[in-house]
Amino acid sequence: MKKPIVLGGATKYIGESRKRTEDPQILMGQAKYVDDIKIPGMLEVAFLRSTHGHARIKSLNLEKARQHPDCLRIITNDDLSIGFTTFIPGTRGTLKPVFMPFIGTGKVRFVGEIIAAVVAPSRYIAEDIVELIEVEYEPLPAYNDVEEAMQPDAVLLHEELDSNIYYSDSYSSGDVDKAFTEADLVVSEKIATGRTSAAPMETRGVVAAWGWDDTLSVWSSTQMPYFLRTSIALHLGIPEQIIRVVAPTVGGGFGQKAHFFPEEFILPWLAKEFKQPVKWIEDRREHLLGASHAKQCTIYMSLAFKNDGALVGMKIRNICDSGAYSQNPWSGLIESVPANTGAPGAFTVRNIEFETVVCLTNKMNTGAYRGVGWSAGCYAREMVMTKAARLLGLDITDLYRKNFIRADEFPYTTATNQTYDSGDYHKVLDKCLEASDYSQQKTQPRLTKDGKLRGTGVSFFVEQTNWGSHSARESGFPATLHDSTTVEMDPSGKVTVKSGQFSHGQGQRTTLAQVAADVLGVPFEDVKVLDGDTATGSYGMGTFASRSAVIGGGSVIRAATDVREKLLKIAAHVMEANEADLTIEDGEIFVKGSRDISKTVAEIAFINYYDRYSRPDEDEVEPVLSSTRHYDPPAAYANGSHAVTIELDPQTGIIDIKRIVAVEDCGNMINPKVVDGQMRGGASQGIGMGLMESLDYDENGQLKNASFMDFLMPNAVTLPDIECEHVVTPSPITEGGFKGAGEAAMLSIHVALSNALADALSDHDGTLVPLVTPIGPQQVMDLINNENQPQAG
Amino acid sequence: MVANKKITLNVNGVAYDREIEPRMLLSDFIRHELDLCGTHVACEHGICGSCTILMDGLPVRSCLTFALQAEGKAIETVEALADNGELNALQNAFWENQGLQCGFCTPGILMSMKAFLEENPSPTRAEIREALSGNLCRCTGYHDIVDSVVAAAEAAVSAAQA
Repeated sequence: MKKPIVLGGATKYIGESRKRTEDPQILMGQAKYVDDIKIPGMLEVAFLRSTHGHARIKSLNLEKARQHPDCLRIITNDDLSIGFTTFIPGTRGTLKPVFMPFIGTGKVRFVGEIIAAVVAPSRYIAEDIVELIEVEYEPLPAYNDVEEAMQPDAVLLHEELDSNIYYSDSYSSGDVDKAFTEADLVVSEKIATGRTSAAPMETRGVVAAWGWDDTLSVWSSTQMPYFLRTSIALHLGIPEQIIRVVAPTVGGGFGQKAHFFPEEFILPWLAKEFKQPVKWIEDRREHLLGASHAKQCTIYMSLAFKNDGALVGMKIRNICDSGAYSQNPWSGLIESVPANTGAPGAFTVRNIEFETVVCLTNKMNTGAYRGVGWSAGCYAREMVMTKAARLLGLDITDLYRKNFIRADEFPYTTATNQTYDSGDYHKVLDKCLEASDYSQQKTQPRLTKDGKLRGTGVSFFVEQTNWGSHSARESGFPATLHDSTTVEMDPSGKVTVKSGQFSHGQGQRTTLAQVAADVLGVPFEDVKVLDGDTATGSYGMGTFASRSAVIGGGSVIRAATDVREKLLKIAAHVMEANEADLTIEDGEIFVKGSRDISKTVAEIAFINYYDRYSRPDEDEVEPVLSSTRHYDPPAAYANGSHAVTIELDPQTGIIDIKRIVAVEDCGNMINPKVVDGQMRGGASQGIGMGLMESLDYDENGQLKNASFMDFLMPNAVTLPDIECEHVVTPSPITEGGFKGAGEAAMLSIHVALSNALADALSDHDGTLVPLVTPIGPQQVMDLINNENQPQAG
Repeated sequence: MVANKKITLNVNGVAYDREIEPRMLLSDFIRHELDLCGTHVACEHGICGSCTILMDGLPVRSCLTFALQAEGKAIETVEALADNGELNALQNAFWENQGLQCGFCTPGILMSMKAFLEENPSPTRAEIREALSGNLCRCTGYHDIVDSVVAAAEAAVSAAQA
C-alpha cells in the first residue's frame, strides 16, 4: 500500500466552512430535477401495481384499457419477460439467488409490485387507463413476520427456493462458551427494529429517450449514474458506450437511490423499443410501496459481563426482513451482514459468535438506507448493554470506558476482523458528556414540577466509512467498489474536476473543488466540479456509504497532484528555475520565498496549449494538463457520541425532545459546515427511525400507512436545535486524513433517545429498557405497563 | 371526457390565458403548463409543503388546489424571489447559513417563510419552528433552516433601521 499524500503548506480551503456553490440555483428554483426534464413528444408512464401482498394472478384483462382512445401502449411480462438476480460475488454462507422480474407475472409477492406499464400522452390519462385494467387475484398467505415466514411449513414466496431464507451464515471468534460460563452476568434479549423508508423529499423518477444517432439517454434520480449505465446495458443487451445516464439535481437519496430498480429498466426499454421519449415520476404512495425499505431486523442478543463491567462475550442471531425479493444490488444482506460484522463497535471484546439470516416476507424489498445494518445492530447491542449496566449498578458510560479501545491501541483489529485506523474514544465521549451536562442531568430528580419525567441518554458509535473494496470486504460484502476522478486544466488556467461520484445534497461541487483548489494552489472560484453525468465524469460508483469525501476527495488529491507536478515542470522550464524551488499559491507560480519572479497559472497553462516554442520539448514533458486517478482506499473508521435529553409524559407516552448534542470525529474535515449538516440531517432521520417512523403492514400484506399523512417523519417541532462538536483525529491511512461522516447519527442517536427514555423511567423501575424501534407513545406505555415486549426465546 | 375550461391568472407579474382540463392541479399547471419548475411536488397530500406558493399573498398548497381555483388570482412562486439572478435577503440568508442540502423542499419553505416573516418580522426560534412545521425537510434536521430564518429576520430589521 502506497503512503497517503500529506498535503503540504497552508491548506487554504480544506477546513473552511465555505458556502456551497450549488445553492443559488436551488434557491432560485432554477435547479433541474428529473421531473423538470422536458423533451418534445415525451409520453408518460403509469404502472398497474399489485393490490395483494401475496397472490396468484388468475387473469389479466387489458381489453377495456386498450380501448381507451388515448391508450398508446400497455406492456406486461409477456413483452418484457426478463428481470434481475442479485449478484454478490464470493459472499460467504448459503446465498441463494432470488429472481425478480421487472414486471410481475404468475404471482405477486408484495403490494406495489408492477404488473403492467401504460404509456399515454399524460400521467392523468395513463392513470385513467391503469384503472381500466382488470386483474383477478387468488390470494395466498402473506407473511409479515420473519419468524413465521422461516417456519419449515411456510408457504414459499419463491417456489424455486426450498425455504423463505435465502441467506444464512455463522461466525465465531475466541472462546465464547468459556466467556459465557465464566461471566458474572449474562443478559439476553430479543430486539425488534421497525421498518422504515429513507423517503427523500424527491421521489424516484426516470426519463428515457432514444436519440436519432442510436444512443440512449436516461435521466434518473439515482445516486449511482455509472452503475445504472452498466446495469441498463447488461439487461438491455446494448453496448454501454451508446448509453448516457444523467442524474440531474437529485432531491435526496440516503442510500435508497443507490439501487437498480425495475422502473429504471422499464423506461429505457420502452424508449428503445418504441423510439419515443418516456417519463415516469413516482408519486408518494408508489414511493412508500415500491421504493426500497430498510432497518427491519429481529435480533437475539446475549452479552456476557464481568462485575466490573467488562464485556467478555457476545452471541447474536440477526434475522433481516428482506421483503419479497433480494433488492439489486445490495439485497437483504445489507442489514444483518454489516450489523454482525460491526458488532464489537467501540469495544475490545474478543469472544463473539453470530448467526446471520436473511428471510423473505410479503413486503417491499429491503435495501440500503443511511447506516445500513448498524442502525439495528448497534441498537440491539446498546440496549442490552444499558440493561446490563443497570443490573451491575453502573452507568452506561462506565461500561463504555471499561471496554473502549484506547487511543494508543490503534490500529486495532476487532474480533470480527475489522481494522480500525485511529480515534480517541475517551476524548470524544468526554466532550459529549461535558457539552450535554450529563453528570448534572443524572443528579437531577426525574420528576419535573409539571408531572413529566426527565431523562438523558448517551450513546457512542464507531462508523465504518468510505466504502471501497476494503470497507466492503471488512463488512462481509466482498464487492469491488472504487472511484476515479479526472482533473483537467484548460488553456485559461481554469480547472475542471470530472467526478464519478454524485452530490444529491452533500455539496460535493463545493467540497471537491475545495480539495482541488488547495492541491493546485488556484483560487476556489477557478475550479468547477462536474458530476452526475456519465458523458462528462470518470467511472465511479457514486455517492453512498460515507464514501465521497474520502474516495472522491482522495482521487481528486491524486489527480490534482499530478497536474500540479506537470504544471511546475513546465513553469520551471519557462521561468528557467529549479522545479523544486517553485510553488503555487492563489493562481501564481513563484520561487519559494520570493514572489518577484512569477508567472500566473493561466500564463503557464496557455503556454502548454498554445506556445510550442516556450514549453519544454514534448518528449521531455508531455503537454497534457490532465490526470485521471483511481482510489480504492483502506477502510477508515469514524466515531462519535450523541446525548439526548427528553421529557416524557407518563400519562400519554409522548416524548418531547429537549436537547440533542452530537460529537463526531471524522478526521480532517474539508468543510466543517457541510459536516455539521450531515450530523444534523442524520440526527433528524435517526430520531425519525427511533421515535416515530414505521411502515406497518397488516396480516394480508397491506401497507397501512402509504402516505405522508400516516407515515410520520420528524418536522421542525419534533426536533430541538442540534448542537455539534468535533474532535479531529486525522486518519493515518487515507489521502488527506479524511474519514467519512454521512451515516454516523443513524448508528447512534436512536440509542441515545432510548437510553434517555430508560433514564426517565429509572425511578419507576431500573430495568425498564426499550427493545423496539420506533418508541412511539404506544410502545412507551407498553414498556411502562410491561406489555407487548419482545420475548427472548 | 370533460371539456377544457379557460383560465386567466397572473403568475409572478405575468398574465396568462390558458385552456386546461378542469381536473388539472395548480401544481401541475405551474410546473408543466407554465414551465415554472421551481415549485416541487413531494407528497400530493398537502402534508409536506414542498409545493407551497403564494396566492394573493397567502401560502397555499398547490398540490391540493385545482388550477381553476386560481382563476383571477395573483400567484407568486419561488422564481419571483430573486431579482435578475440576485438572491433576495431571505434566499441569501439560506445560502449563508446552509439552510438547504438537496434543496427539493427549499422553494416551498422559502414561500412559507416569506409569508410568515411578513406576518411576524421578529420571530423567536420556537415561533419559526412552529411556522416551519408544515414543511418537511429530510436533509437538514431543520436547525440550519431555523438559523437561516433568524438571519433573514435580523437582516430585515437592520435594513429597516439603516
